[in-house]
This record gives sequence, structure tokens and C-alpha cells, in this order.
Amino acid sequence: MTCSETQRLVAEYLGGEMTAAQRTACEYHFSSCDDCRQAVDTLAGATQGLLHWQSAEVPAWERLSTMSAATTDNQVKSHGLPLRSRRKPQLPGGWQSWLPLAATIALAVFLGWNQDTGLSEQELAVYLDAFEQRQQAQTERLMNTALQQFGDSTSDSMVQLVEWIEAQRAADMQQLEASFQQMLNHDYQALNSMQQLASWASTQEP
Amino acid sequence: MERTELALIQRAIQGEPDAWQALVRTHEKRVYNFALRMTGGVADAQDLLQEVFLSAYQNLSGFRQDAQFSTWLMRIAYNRAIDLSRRRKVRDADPLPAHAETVDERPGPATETHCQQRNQQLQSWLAALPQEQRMVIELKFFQEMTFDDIAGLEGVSPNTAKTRFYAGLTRLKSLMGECDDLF
Repeated sequence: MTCSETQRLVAEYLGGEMTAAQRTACEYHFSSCDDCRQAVDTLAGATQGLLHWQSAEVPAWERLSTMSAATTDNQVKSHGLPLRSRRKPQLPGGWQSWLPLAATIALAVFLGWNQDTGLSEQELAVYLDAFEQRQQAQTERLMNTALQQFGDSTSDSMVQLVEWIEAQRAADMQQLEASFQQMLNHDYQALNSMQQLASWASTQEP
Repeated sequence: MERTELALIQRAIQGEPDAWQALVRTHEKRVYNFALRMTGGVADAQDLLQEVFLSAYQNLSGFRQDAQFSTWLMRIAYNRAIDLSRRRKVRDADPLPAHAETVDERPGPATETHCQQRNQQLQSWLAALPQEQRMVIELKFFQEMTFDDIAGLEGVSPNTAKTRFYAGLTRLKSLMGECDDLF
């Protein structure tokens, strides 16, 4: 392309901003400029294609929701969240994120307890199955309660839902930490007993 | 601006639902079609439609009554469309065209008309354009704005707006390629 005016002239010509006199002058230029003539002929096809857009009807929607949301939910403005949530909410981290940790700690606590009680492997498997079922049931109850309490999808309730889930998570973590601490205390006592035994044994040696 | 529309705006500011609903009904089709072409999908277009009218109602008291309500509304639509595009980029970590919903999500191919198919095809082509080219074509071709107005809205020079328009049409023509039979 050698004509330095092609982009500007063709844009103005196809953009429909020229006066009749300007169009005539432009068309005169096109008649003698291969670059411009070729460009305008080609791109006119694109504008013809755009002309085939058929104005679409608006699907049914709650027009007044924009009014009520504007007056009651200022957070929507600041967050820019859509009113009509069509995607499942993504909880930060999700309840799944602390399940492995919970299972690990529970297993550790159980194994420590198992040393004292002397349960068999079969009993251990039964216990773990029961633990998993309890965990799943608890999770389902948690999610059902959350969905019932925050059933609608406004951004306000989403914020509440996330806060509530976070509070539940914090409570669970405190419980787990307490269990873990209990296990550590148990291990410490066992270790202390071993040290005492070793100490007693060393004093008994001839 | 028509007196009736001005009266509706005043009543809507005072909190009359009927007045606001009448205003929305008057302008929703234009906004929705803008949203369809800008987002490339029905669901995102509905989201954008709601965001535009929510934002409009929140700012209604600041509307200068010597201006055209439709122009003011389309300026909001422009800003919300840019916001949506940015949020989607952050969400998907990918530019719009790669994940553009280029088809109508409503079920039933049997109910699709030839017009719907053409619209969907145009949406997919527009979605494949860089956002700044798509926006200039939208504002120039469908909203019938001047290059000076587009430049003012986008904060660029009129020549940049013309360059984007030219580049957008070139890319569109390339995408349309051999699909002339669709029309």
C-alpha cells in the first residue's frame, strides 16, 4: 500500500461522515488510486455484512430489580457483581480445602488412641468409614443450611454466605487444633513415661 | 428530549417504579443488542443489560437534563462493557474471543430462524476482533456516532478511532471470507 491517505479516507467514506462534496472528491480520488479503490471495495463488503444484523428481542427479565437493587444494595455498585448469578458461587478455598487436613489429624489422633486400645486393622477400617460418612453428612448439612439461609443470589447474600462459611471453617479449625493439641499432650505424656522408665532402668543396672 | 421522558426521569428519581419500568422498556432493546454484539453471548448480554440499568438508576439524579437520555445511557453501557471485558480477562486470564459464547444459549435448534443464525455468526465474528476494534465498529456502525465523539468517549485521537475502524473492518472482512452465502 503506497497511498498514505487510504485508512483515513476509507474510514471516513464508509463511516458516512462526509458531505456530498467531500464524497464526490473522495470518489474522484478512488478512481485514480488503486490502493484506496481496492480497500473501499473490499471493506464495503464487511459493512454490508453488518447490515444484516437483526435487532434481537430482549428476553424476559426483572426490570424493577435494577431499581430495588440500586436502593438496597450499594455493594453491587462497588463490587460490580452481576445481579443474576448464573454461575455457581466459588467459595474461597471451599470446604474441601480443610477436609484432607481434618482426615489426617483425625487419623493421627485415632492411631495414638489405637496404641492404647489395641484395635485391629478391621476395626480401624470400620472406624475410618464411619468417620468419612459423618464428615460427608456434616458437610451436606452445612451446605444445605447455607443454601437455605442464603438461597437467593444477590451479591449481598453472597457476601454473607462467604462470611458464614468462613466462620464455620474457623470453628472447625479451632476444633481440629484442640484435637491435635490433645494428641500432642498424649504423646508427650507417653514420651515422659518412656524417659522415666529408661531412667529407672538405668538406675537398676548393676 | 421529550417532555414525557423528562417527566419519567423525574418520577423515577422520586422512586416511582412504573416510571422507571417505562424508561427501561423504552431503551432496553438498544442496550441489549449492544450487549449481545459486545459480549457475544445471551447470558453475558443479560448480565450487562442489568448492570447498565442498575448503574443508570444509581446515577439518575446526576443526569444532566440538557443531554439525550439515550446518549447518556449508551455511555454507561460503554463503560460497563469495558468493565465486564476487564473482569472477564481477570477471571479467565484469557482474552474475550477465546471463550466468547458465540451462540445463543436458548435451547432448540429447530426454533432457530435464519435471522438468529446470521446474528450468531455476526456475534462470533465481532467477538473475534480485538476489543478496541469491536467497540469502534459498534459505536460507529450501530450507534452512529461520529469519529470525534468516539475519540472523546475512548480518550483517543480521531485518527486513532479511524485507524481502529479501518483495521476492524479489514479483520471482519477476512473473517467473513467465503461466508457470503450466509447473507
